[in-house]
Amino acid sequence: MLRLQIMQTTYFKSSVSDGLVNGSSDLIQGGRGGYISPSCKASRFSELKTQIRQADTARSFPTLQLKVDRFDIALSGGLRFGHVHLMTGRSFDGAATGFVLALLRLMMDQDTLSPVVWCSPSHAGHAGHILASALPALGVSPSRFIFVHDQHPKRLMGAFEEVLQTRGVLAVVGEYGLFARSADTWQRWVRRTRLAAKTGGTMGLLLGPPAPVSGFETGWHITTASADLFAEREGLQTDWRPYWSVQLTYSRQGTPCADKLIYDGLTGQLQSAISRPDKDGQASQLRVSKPALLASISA
Amino acid sequence: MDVSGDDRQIIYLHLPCLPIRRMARVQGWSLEEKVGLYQREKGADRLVYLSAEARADGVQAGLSVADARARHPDMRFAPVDHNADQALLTAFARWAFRYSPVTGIDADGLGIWIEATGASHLFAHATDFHDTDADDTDSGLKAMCADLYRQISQTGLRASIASASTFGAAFALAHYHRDVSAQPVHAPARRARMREALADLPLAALRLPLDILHALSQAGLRQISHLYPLSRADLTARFGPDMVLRYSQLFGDQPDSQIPVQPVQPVAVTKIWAEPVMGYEALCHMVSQLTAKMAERLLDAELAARSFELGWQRTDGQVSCLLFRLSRPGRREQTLQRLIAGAAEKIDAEFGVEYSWIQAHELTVDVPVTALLGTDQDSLQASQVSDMVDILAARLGPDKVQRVVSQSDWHIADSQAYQPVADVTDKTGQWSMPVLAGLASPRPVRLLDRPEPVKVVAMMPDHPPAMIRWRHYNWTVLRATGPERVGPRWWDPNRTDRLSRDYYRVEVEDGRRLWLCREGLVERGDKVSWFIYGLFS
Repeated sequence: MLRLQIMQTTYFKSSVSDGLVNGSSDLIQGGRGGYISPSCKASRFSELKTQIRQADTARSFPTLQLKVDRFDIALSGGLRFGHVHLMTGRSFDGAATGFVLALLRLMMDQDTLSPVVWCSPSHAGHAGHILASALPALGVSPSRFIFVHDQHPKRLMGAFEEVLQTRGVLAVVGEYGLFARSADTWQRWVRRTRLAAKTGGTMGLLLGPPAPVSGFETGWHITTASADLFAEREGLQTDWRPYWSVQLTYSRQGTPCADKLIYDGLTGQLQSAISRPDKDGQASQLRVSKPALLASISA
Repeated sequence: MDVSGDDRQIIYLHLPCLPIRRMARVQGWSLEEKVGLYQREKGADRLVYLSAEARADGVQAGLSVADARARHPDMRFAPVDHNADQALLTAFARWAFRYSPVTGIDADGLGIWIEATGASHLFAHATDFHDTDADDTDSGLKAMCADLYRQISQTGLRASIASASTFGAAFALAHYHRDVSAQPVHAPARRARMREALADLPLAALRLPLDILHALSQAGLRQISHLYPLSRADLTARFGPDMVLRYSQLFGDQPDSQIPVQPVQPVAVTKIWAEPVMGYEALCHMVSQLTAKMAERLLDAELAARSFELGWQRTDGQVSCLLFRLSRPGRREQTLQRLIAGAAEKIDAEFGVEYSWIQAHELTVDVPVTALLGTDQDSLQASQVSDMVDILAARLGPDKVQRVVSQSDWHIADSQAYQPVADVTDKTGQWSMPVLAGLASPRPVRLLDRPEPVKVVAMMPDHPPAMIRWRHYNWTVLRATGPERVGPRWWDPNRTDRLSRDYYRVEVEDGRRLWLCREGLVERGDKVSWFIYGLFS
C-alpha cells in the first residue's frame, strides 16, 4: 500500500511538472506551486527508496541457509521465504533441477510435514519431466510432493500464484518454459507473484531457461560444472555426486556471487569446491573431501 | 441388530481415555496434567476416569474428590458429562463408516463396534498383511484393524482394538487382553481356538453387574476358563439367567443385539425463483446464496461433505448441473464459496433460471478423526493445503492435481504413476526411502517424454559410448558407468518391448550427465540402437 501511494505521488508530481514547466529540465513543480530542484528531487527519491526498503524489510520472513558461507554472506543470511527466486539453467541439463531439489531437501530437513507443490506442464517436450524414482537418491521423499500438471502456461502460472498465497506449503516450484518470452506478460506476472508470495509466506522457485530477472528476490544460473576441474580431482573417478557451477546473478538484498558446489545426497549438504582467495587474490581450488559413503566404507 | 453368528466379524475399538481427552480439550487443559472426572455416588463425588499422569501418581478410581484434592492440590477435577461422551462416541462411529456401513457405540464400555462382515475383504490389498495361508477376508480384517489403529493413534489417543466373531468376545478382548494396548488382537473364528483365546480373561469381561461378579468371586470363579467345566444349568441355578446369557453371548450361542448408529441423511438446498434469474451478477448472487445456505445446513447438522452438485433448471425446461469435489470433507462457507466461485460463468441461463439447487454428497462427520480431538497446528495447515488443492482441482480439473505413487516395475518409465490427490492427509502409497541414499540405483532427475534416438560411437559394439551425436551437439564422453540391464516383460504376451536394454550413465565434456540406453544385445545379434532417456543433475 505504501508503495502504491508513493508511486501515485511521484506520478502526480511528474505529470504536473510536464504541464507547467513545459521543456524546462532545470526545475520541476512539486506539490502546490513549489518547485523542486534536481538535487532536491534526487534526495527525495533517495528518501522514498529508503522508505520502500524499510517497508519491504518491515515484515521479516525466515531464511534458508545454504550452509555455504560464500552464498549465505552474498544473500545477507540466506534464501528468504515469502519471496520468489528465479533458477535458470541451460537446455538438456539437469543441474538446475538438481539444485532446486537440494534446496528443497534443506527445507524438508527443517519442516518435516508441509508439502511441496511442483507445477509443470504435462508434456514438457525435450525438457522432460521430473522422475520421482530419482528423488530418494537425493534424500528427497516423493511423497511430500503435490504435482500440478497443465499444458496451458497461463493456467499453470496461475496455479503457481494460487499456491504461493497458501500458508502451510513449504515451497512451490514452477516450470515456466516459454512463458517468459512475452516480456510484458512476464513482468506483470512477476509483480503479482511477489505480492502472492508475501501473502502466503511461501518460497517460490521458478525453474526454466534464462529469463529476465527483474522483480525477483534473487536470480540464479546453474549448470553442471565443466569437466576440467573435475578431472583434476584425484582418486574420485567413481564419484558421481552432482557437481554444479552455481551463479547468483542477482540478489535484491545482497551481492552477486559464484561458486562450484558439490551436493552430497547422503547428508543433504552442499559443499563449496573453491576456497577463499589466496594472498595474491586468486581463488585456489580445494581438494574436495571424499563422499561420506566412500569415507565410511574405507574406514 | 443381530451380531451373533460363527462367520461374523466384529471389530471393537475401546477408547479408555476418551472422556479425559474430551474434557481436556473443552477446558483447555494440557494433556500432561493430572485430571480426574467424578460423578455423584452414594452422597459423595467419586472419581470415575483418571488421566495417565494421575494414575501414575497413585490416584485410583473410586476415591472421593475431597480426598484426592487433599492429596494432590495440583490435580484438576471436572464432573463427567456422559451425554457429551456419548455424542463424541457417535461421531467416532459415524467416522468409522469408512470401514463398514454398520457401526455402533457402546457407551458403557467407552467403545465403538464395527460390523466388518462382508467389508473386510476390501482391505485385502494391503500387502503388509497378506498371508498366503489365509484368505482375503482374514488378511483384510487384519489390514482394516491396522488401519483403524493407525488412524486413531495419529490423534495421540490410546486405543485397544480387537476382532472376533461375536460382539461379546470382541468386547472382552479389547478391554482385558494383556497385549491389546500394543496392537490389535484377533480371536480365531473356530470355537475351540476362541475358547483358548478367551480362557485367561477375567469374568468382568462378561459385562456382568458388580453383585454377580462379587458372587462369582466368592465361589472361586475368577477367569472365564473356570466356567468351562461347569454346566449352564448349574450356573443358572446359582447365579441367575443374566450371567448365563452373557456367557452364551460370548460364544455366539445367544444373539447379542446392538443398535447401530443411523447413517447421515443427505442434505440439499433448493430454491424456486419468483422471476427467472439471468445475467452474470444475478447468477453469482444465486450461487452465493445457495452456497451460504448449504454451509449453514451442514453446520447445523454437524456434517461435512466431500462433493457438491450445483443444479439448475432453465425456463425452457433444460436441466444442467455442475459437480465440485473437495479433497477432504468440508463445510466452511469460505471454502465452499471459493470452490464454487467460478460456477456462475459456466451457467448458460438463456432466458433465465427458474429453479436451482445444491446437494451435498459423500457426507460424513464434520471433520477427519484427527481433528475430532486434535487442536494442533498440523490440522490447521492441512485444512489450508486442502483448500488450495480443491481450488486448483476445481479450476484445472481433478486429474491435474496429482501426487506420485511408486509402481513395482523395473522399467523406469513405468516405475511411477500419478493419481489425483483425493485426500492430502492420506499417507498410503508412500515411497520407501533408502537407508543410505548414496546406495540407491542411479536414476535421472529428468526423464524425457519419449526416448530420443542418438548416434553413438563406441570402442567395441558392447562398450559404453565414446562419442555422442544428438541434434546439434557433438559430445565426447569423459566417463561412463553401466550397464544396468533391464530385460523385456517376457511373461506378458501383450508386451510392446521385445529387446533387452542396457542403461549407461555418461558424463560428456561440458559436464552434462546423460542417461543413455542401448536397445538390443550385441551377443544375440540383435539390431542395436541407442537412445537418450534422461538427464542427471
